[in-house]
Amino acid sequence: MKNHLYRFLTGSALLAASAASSLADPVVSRLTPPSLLFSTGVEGEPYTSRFLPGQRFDLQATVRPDPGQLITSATFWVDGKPVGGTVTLVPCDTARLPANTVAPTLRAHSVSNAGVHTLAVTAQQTDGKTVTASGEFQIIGTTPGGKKVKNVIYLIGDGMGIAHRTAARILYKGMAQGKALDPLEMDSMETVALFKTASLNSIITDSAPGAACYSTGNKSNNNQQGVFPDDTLAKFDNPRVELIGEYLGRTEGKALGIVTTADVFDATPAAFGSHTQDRGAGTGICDGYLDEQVAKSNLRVLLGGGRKWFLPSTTIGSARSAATDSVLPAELAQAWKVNPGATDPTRNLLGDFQSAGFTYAPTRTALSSVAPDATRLLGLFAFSNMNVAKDKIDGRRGTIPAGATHPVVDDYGLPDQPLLDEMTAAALGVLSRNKPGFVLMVEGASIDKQAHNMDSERWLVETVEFDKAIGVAKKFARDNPDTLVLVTADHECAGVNIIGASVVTNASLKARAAAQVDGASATTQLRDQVVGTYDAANFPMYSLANDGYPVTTDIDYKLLIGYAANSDRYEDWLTNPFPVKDSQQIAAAFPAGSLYATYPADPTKRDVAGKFFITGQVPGSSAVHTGSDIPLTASGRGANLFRGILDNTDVYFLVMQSVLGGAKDKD
Amino acid sequence: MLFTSVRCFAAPSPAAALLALLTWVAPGLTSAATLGWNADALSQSLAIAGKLPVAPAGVTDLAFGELFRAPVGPLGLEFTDKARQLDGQRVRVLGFMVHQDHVASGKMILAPFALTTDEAEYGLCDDLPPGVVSVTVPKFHDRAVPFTPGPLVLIGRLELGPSTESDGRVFHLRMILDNEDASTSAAVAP
Repeated sequence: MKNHLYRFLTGSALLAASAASSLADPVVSRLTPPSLLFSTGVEGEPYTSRFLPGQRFDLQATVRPDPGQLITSATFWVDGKPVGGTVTLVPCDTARLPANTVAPTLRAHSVSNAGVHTLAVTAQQTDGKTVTASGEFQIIGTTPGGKKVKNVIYLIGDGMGIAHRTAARILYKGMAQGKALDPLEMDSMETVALFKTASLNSIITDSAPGAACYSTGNKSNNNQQGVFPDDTLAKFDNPRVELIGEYLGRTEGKALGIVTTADVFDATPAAFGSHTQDRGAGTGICDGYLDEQVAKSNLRVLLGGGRKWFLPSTTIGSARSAATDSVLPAELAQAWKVNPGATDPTRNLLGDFQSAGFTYAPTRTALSSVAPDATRLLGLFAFSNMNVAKDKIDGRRGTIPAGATHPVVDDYGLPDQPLLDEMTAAALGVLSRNKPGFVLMVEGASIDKQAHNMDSERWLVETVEFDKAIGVAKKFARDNPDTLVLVTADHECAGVNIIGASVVTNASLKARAAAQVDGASATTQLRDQVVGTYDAANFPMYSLANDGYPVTTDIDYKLLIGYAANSDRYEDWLTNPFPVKDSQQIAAAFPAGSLYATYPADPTKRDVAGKFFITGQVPGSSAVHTGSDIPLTASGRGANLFRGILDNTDVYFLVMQSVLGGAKDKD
Repeated sequence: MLFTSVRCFAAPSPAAALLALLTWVAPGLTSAATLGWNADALSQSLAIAGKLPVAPAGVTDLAFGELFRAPVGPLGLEFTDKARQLDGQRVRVLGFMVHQDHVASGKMILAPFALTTDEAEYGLCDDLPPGVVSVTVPKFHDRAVPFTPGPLVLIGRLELGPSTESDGRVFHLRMILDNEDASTSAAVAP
């Protein structure tokens, strides 16, 4: 019954409320933390905003006065009692809001007792008229019992849905007579759950709220991380929610580690160490790692790409800019007790990290020789996203694409990049020296990025690399049984699935991809005569080299992948010799002898010779995220909490139960 | 066919020089299918085929691939010795004019391959690669340089080091094209 009421109200009542507002100004058009009670008038579950006891979050409302009036004061009320502290009237400057609209804001509030709490705001304008609006939020307590988890390792395969796992298992472990010959590391875990992934404002999330929910326990709008939406244009002033690293750093003394194969400013890593409505604000996000997170979250390890944010803008290759920088409002900085920062594109952030005691590793070689007693580690192995595993492995093997003179990684000027398992091992070495324990986030970033590009072999090998990192984490958990290991994603990417296998040899596929045979249509030549479904798919069998990666991804009768969220593309099923151009890279600085300039700009610029064109179902030049549920597998202490079909924000509260309350080792 | 000719912006008459090159570069030689939008590869092929005249006296050819040391060191990119030696000298560079939404008078950006920026949508966060050159075109000091697709051969004085242009971008390479009185037409004559 309530479900029907929600559907009706969310579909129509807001419009009605908006229309009625002109008769009842001043008006509260937003109340944060968000709630269905405020938006629809309906009380009760599901509670949009949930927090831990003592977890800090900002209270904010957007209030528009009558024409010619100003809002003069506002008071927040929780459970009918006024909330102490300073309320700042922040001017709102987003489009479509009337003049003099303000956002009364009270920072860093917290509530200690579990249960559902009412939130109200009362605002007064110059003529004395007042307005009141109400919402609600929930405090989720923890239950003492069992053994507490000391260390938490989140392993996030960005964009990794069920089919990414299945496909990687077939390629990496093999399958015969209907049985997987071996499980993936992410398979052989104790429990499994499915998670819903929608963001605060869409059934399709992007990586910012998709990952931030694991860090905050709350939904955000797309592009936003560590915050709730607001009505100001400023990127770093949104209502904040305390992050897992900040909370456990403050209350438990735990350390934080962030490891990614992406640029460290990218959404998933930054979801564990930033508060912004703009996931693209790289200068401010990376400044915040040092200026806030080192002190607040005990950030001790930061490994990935993104060196361009750490070099002064006067250095070649820097991307620091005023436009992507941050300066926090004074009232925010004061309430949260953080450094407000400055607009400083010429800052030497790398030097500042080193001054703060961080050992800096620019290469795999340097990472492997970090002093065994290092307690702070910064590794920036690329200027933006690191090269993908396939290209890193080819670089180590000396495999050179046809027509090139050197491996792909050389085109980027960065041939010595570590693999994710090596980065994970280095991170664990440093973090394990923090006696109270740690939270480590490890991201296999380009599972998503290459699925966007519909570059099947690149995300497949990336998933293999990610699985090896999971193996490192699981070994650490075996040696340190007070560790919880979670393997999940932030969303599915590209609508990936296994459609079958090729029924022709690689040589035949190459010939078909090179040119159309006279009289044969591309559809006949590269679809009807190639794609084996059902029985014809059989079991593709790849072999592994000594380095643990497939000898080749172009075997006879290879695995074939389809995409349900595809943009336009040409397809010839062969491994693409070069990745799609990544405009954030510096590779274009090294065109000598390289073919970077001729890398395909998007999936319609490769595989063209075979002329097999697949019309996309989505606009744009890359595949998109999908709204399907994603799997989570867990092992170690606390793993048995993760069962069933849950909301992605539940992960945070289950983790905190295991850390703060404890968990039984067995059912 | 993505492009069929090499064009030149060198003085004394950029338009004339452009047209001149249009007539002597064989279209097949520069087709996208054979060379792609790769300035250095194109430059090399033209030179091998004898289609690119020897640089005039006092002008040194400089390729994008000769700008930075590879592999990259632990910090940012570093200029090669050749690039450093050419700081303040006249150079000839083959590249592609970046297609910009908003351009400043007398300015263009030269890149190692075809690029488009969208300042309206992305501000300056459009990820121009670090090897692009900010080019001052004296002839167009009072108006926008018209976008010219396809490869261009530019001759001018090279300047290295960071400088912030009027749009806020920081460039590490600049070229000031020869003015109209300079005698560079021979460099591009058929």
